[in-house]
Parts: sequence; C-alpha cells; structure tokens
Amino acid sequence: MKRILRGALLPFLVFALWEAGSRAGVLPMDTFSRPSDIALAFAAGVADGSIPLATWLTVQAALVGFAIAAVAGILVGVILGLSPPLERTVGPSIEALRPVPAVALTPLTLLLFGFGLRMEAAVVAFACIWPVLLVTVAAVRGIEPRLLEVARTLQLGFPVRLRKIILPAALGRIVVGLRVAVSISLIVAVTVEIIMNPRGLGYGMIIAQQSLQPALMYAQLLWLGLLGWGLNALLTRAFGRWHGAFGPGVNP
Amino acid sequence: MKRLARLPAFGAVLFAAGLLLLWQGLADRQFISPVFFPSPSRTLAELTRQIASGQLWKPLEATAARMFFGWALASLAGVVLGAAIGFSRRARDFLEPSLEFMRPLPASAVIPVAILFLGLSNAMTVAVVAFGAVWPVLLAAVHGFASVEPQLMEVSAALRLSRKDLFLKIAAPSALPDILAGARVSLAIALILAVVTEMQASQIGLGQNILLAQRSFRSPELYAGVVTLGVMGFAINHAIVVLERRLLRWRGAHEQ
Amino acid sequence: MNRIAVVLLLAVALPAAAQQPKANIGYIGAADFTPLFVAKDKGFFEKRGLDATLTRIQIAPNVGPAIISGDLQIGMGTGPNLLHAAEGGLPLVAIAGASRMKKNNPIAGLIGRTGFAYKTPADLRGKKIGSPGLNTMLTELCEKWLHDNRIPRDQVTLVEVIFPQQHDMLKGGNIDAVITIEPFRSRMLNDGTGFKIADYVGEINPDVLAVLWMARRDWAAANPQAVKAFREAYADAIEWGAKNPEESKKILAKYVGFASPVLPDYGVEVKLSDLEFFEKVERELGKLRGPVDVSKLVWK
Repeated sequence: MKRILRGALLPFLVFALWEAGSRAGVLPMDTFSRPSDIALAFAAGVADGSIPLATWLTVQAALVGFAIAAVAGILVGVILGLSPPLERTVGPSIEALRPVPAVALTPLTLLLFGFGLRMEAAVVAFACIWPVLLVTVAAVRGIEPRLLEVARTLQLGFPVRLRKIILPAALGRIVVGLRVAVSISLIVAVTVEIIMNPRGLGYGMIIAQQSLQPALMYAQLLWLGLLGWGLNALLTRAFGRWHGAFGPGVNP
Repeated sequence: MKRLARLPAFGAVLFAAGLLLLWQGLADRQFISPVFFPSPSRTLAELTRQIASGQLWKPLEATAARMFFGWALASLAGVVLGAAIGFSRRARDFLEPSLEFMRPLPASAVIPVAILFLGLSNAMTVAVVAFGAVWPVLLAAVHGFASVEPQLMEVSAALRLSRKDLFLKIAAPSALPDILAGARVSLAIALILAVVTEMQASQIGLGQNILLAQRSFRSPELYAGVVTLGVMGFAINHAIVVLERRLLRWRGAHEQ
Repeated sequence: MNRIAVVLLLAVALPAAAQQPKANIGYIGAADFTPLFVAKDKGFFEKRGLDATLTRIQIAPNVGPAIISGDLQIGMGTGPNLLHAAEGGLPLVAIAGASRMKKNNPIAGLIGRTGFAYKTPADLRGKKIGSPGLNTMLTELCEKWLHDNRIPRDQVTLVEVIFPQQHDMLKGGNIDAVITIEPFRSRMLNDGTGFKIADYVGEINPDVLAVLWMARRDWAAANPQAVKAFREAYADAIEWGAKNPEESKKILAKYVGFASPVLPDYGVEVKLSDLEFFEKVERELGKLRGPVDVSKLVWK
C-alpha cells in the first residue's frame, strides 16, 4: 500500500498543479486543456466507442509488429551471437540499416500494403527488430562458455540447445531488449498513425488536434501512456519468474 | 585470394555489396513505382550531387548536433536516475510509476507540448530527443546497478566503504557494460528522434530534407538522406564500439 | 398487376444500384470541402449514381501516394501537388475543382503578431513566418508575394506551424507572422492576437483555383461514370449550399469538428489556365525543374 501511495504522489502533484495553473490562466490555454476537461473528453470517447476501437487497432498493429520483430530478432541474434565470424560479416550492414528511421519507410510500406494493419505492423517490425537483435547477440556472447561446451559434449541438437541452454542463460538480458522493443512498438505504431495510417489512437489524436479539440487529443495521449505502462507491467510480471531464477540479485 | 578472404572486413563488404545488388534488382523490376523507390545508382548520383554542391553539410551538422546533445543529456539523466532507482527502494517507489507512464509516449505526440513550452528552438529539439532516448540507458543502468554481484557488496560492507566510494569504485564499474550497451541503443534512438523531430518541428536537418523530398515526390533525394543517415549511424556506432572496448579492457583481462 | 410491376422494377433496380461505381474519397479538415460533405449528407452522390465513402486524411501530402496505392480513388490536391506529381512521373490528373480563392472573399492571408511594428513588406526582413506547410500552395503563393515585393527569400525564415497551433505560436511570440486561412484567420484577427498584413493571394491573382480533386489517370479512364457522377453531385451540392448557407456550415462542422463562419468560394470546373498560373509561379520560384505538359493534367 505504501508503495502505491508513493508512486501516485508525483503524478498527483503534476495534475494538481496543471489544473490549478490552467484555471489561474498561467498556462497557454488555447491548445493546452485542463485535466478536468481531458477527463471529460476521455469519458465521452469511451462512451461512444471511438477510444476503445482506436485502442484495439493500435495495440493490434504494435503487437503484431513486435511479435515478428521478437521472433526474427531472437533467432538471428542467437545465430549471430554463436558465430562471431558470421556476426562480423553481417554486423556492419546491420549497423548501416539500423539508423534508418522507420517513419522514412512509411511511403514505401503504403505502396506495398496500402492503408491498414499490414503496413503499420511492417514499420513496427522494422523498428523493433534492432534492439532485440543487438541485445540477443550481446546476451548470447555473454553466456558462460562452459555451458556451451557442455551442450556440445552432450551433442544436443540446435533446437534443444536453444531451448534448454542458450535461451534460459541469455533470457535475463534478452528480456531487457524485449521491454525496450515493446515500448518502441507502441510508439512507432502511433507515429505511423500520426503521419500516415488513418486508424488507431495516433490518427485519433491528430484528428482531434485538427478539429480544435485539444482535450480529446490529450485524453488519447495520456491514455496511450497508461496503455504502455499497462503493457509493460504485464510483460514484467510474465517474465518476472525467469528474472528471479537467472537474473540479478536485488540490492537494498 | 585466401589471404584476402581472411580479412574480417572482406566478408562484411561482400555481404553489404550483396544487399546493394538486391536493392538494384528490386528497383529494376519496378515492383514499386520508381517514383517512390529509386535504384541505388540514382540515389548515389543524387548523394554525390549533394556532397559536391556542399548542400549536405549544414543539415548533416544540425542533425548530428541535435542527436549528440540529446543523447548526452539522456545518458546523464539515465545514469543518475538509474543509480537512484537501482540502489534505493524508496526512490524506485516514488519515481518508477511516473517514469513508466512517460516511457510509452511517442516523440511525435510530445512535440506539440514541447513546442508550446520551449518554442521552435534547438532547446526544444534537444529536449524531445533526450526524452525519447533516455529509456534504454535508464533501463540498463537500473539493471546494472541492481545487479552488482552480492559478493562485491559484501566486500564493500566489510571494508566499510563510503557511499561515494561504493558508487565510484564498485557499483559504477560493475554496471558499466550494461550502461554502455544501453547507451549504444540510446544513441541509435537519438539519431532517429533527431530526424523525426526535424520532420515535425520544421528544423533544418536531414529529417527536413527527407520530408520535403517526400512531399515533392523526389525519391532519390529521400533515399540519399536515408543513406546518409545509415552511414552516420554506422560511423557513430563503430566509434562507440571502439570506446566500449577500451573502457572495458580491464574487465576482459579479469575474466580470462 | 401493380405488385408484380413493383417486384419487377425492384429486380431490375436493385442490381443496378448494387453496381453503382464506388469511390473512396480523401479529404482533409478544411472548409474547402463543404460541398463534399453536403453531397454525402444530402444524398447527392447516391442520386447521381456514385457509392461514395469519405476518408479523412491527416495531411495533404499523403493524399497523392494514397491515390497511387489505390486506397483512395479520388483525393484532394492543389495545383502545385499535381505539377510535382507530374514532374515525378506520377499518373495523376485533375478531374474536378473543389474551391477557389477570390479577391472579394479573402480566405487566406498573412497575419502579423500584434506588437510587431509592421509598415511595409520590407519590415518582414529577418522575421519568422509560420507556414502551414513548406512547399505547399498557400506558402508558395506567399513566397511569390514576397518575391514581387522584392524581399529575397533567404531574408525571411519560414517555419512550419500547423493551423491548430498557429494562434498560440503567434500569441507567444514564437513567430512574427503567419500564413493562415479561415476560420483561424478570423479568430486571430477578432481576438486581437494579430492584424492583417496582406491578403496576398488576391494581390497576385483575383481568382485562383485553391483545391482540386485528383485521381489516377487509369482509374479515371476506366470509370467515366464515376467521374461524371462525382462532378454532378459536387455541383449539386454547391448549388444547394448557396441556397442553404447556415445548414451547410452545420454540416461542415459535423465533419471537420470546428465551425467556420466564413466559407470559401466553390467551383467544380478546372481550367487549363488555373494550372498554367501555378506552373508560372512555380518556375519563377525555382520549385519546378523538370518538363511538365500541363495540358495533359486536366481530365476531360
């Protein structure tokens, strides 16, 4: 209980100051909006179904893109991590592709897939694969060499090696990469919606802004923050078990 | 030939060349209209033109500066906050929920707010870049500080080290590999965010070039910008790897 | 006997209705498209035989690519859009007009910040002007106006500020002047945030085609019925709108989310001279470099 109270203190202070500042006329009101108005706009958006629908569309695209990136990133990362010569061959090309902003690829994906889920998931996958890949390579490289020797001595096949030795040993660090990727997935999905795809929360935010309804825009933005938080909390809980088994100790 | 093949760079160059050939092949087949998907040759021609005419340097510098300062701010904030949270349960309780709430906010959505408070200035772009780039360093720092080996902690308690010495001599070096890995990811994000911010907030830079090229249907310019970003990112990452290797040399020696 | 006639009629009419040509029409949140909304709301599209879906697009530059990708069959655009598309080799044509800017009904303008000591255009040297979109029609016409008033382009800084943020940006002093349209223009003038520097469009040309409707050349060729139906429905809506201005404004507010007390002029015709005007401006400003055959861009 104490933990929840402590955590809530900072947001509470921020919102209180925000509301007070808006009412006192200190903050730029025209496009900014008060927390109370934002709450009302959010309630209205939920009631008429627009926010739940937009939420579903955004989360769907983010998760599909993330899933593709996670599977591809871990697989390729393990392969590259286990084979330094291969990593040296492919690595520089990866380093050259990584800085390409996913948003620069949206016109391309639009032409390939048209408006909708596929184009958004494609852009999300492109953006999310890099952190997973990088962290997996580092994690695999950091596996206790004796563990890998044991696997070789036992003549375990690659899939079994992957499942029983490599992944468990590397998972603690891979999970950090996955957490980053999940956050990126939501961010990129919303960004694609802001700039191109006419669906989801990002689209809703921009249209609210253009329709001179800043309260609705901020409602969706703050809701997005909550969503991401919830998604991440879920992940942490899901991967908490592994973390405990192989992960770091806790320091007071 | 065999001696050449042993050079580590040779394989990498071959692979990269292979990718370029693939690109050229796809462009020639015209699966996508050449108006939106130019071939490597057209892109290279455009890039050469921009370098030769000197048009490239000012935007490049602007983007690089934005990225660097945003990243520096993000790294500093990430290490400080990460240390606080990694070490102190109380700090974690107060800060974590708010930070976790802010993390998923996309820079594109935060930019309008930043513009309202900081105007259309460099400070605004650096702030937005830092906001988006802090998370990998923060997460890595928390992980790094929270996972200092218990034996090291015992040793420091036995030696009765002060808090400061604990941090500087035991915790920080122990957390360094994680922090550096996080900083690398952070830098990549900083570059992307610098570009995205330029696109949305109308600041001079590679991002703006890409945006305007897109609007005028000038795809060789667009892809020339993308290639420039790729080269930039590659060069910067290489520099960090070298730095990482140097800083962690002591670790490697001990783990032999 | 009557009942059989009705059934027979339905049997014939229903398939015909089901075969109405379809079009997904892309628009952005602006008052230029009131007849579009009226046509949809009042059933003019249906009446003229077009199954129309309206899709709101975030920003104008997205419409061209979306037409090329086939997501939109008809989409809004401007003269410069079309010219750049043609320069780039994209097969887009203008099938109808949407709105016009006339000197006696200024919709767009350059508004200065209250407090900015402006007397002549020369005072704009070294100042920051907010633009709703660099290299878009409104901004390019303003650049032409600056050019005509002998102000070198590099002595003025243009920054992008989207319409919803223009009021606050101007008020906060982030920009010294802003290129804007109704209803934002009137809002800034009426609440004292800004003053009128120039209704520059009218100074350059008293009658300009503001927004037009684009389509892919092959789609237009394959769907003459749809093109005809679209034009007729839009014309119907313009006529209705002229007779029912208040209700028009209500319909507009319903679709774009904000009210606009001043409406632009509408016109469904696209003349070759409209596009030639833009070509001249663009070439003068050095924005159009390649060869473009303007005559091919107006769809008959």
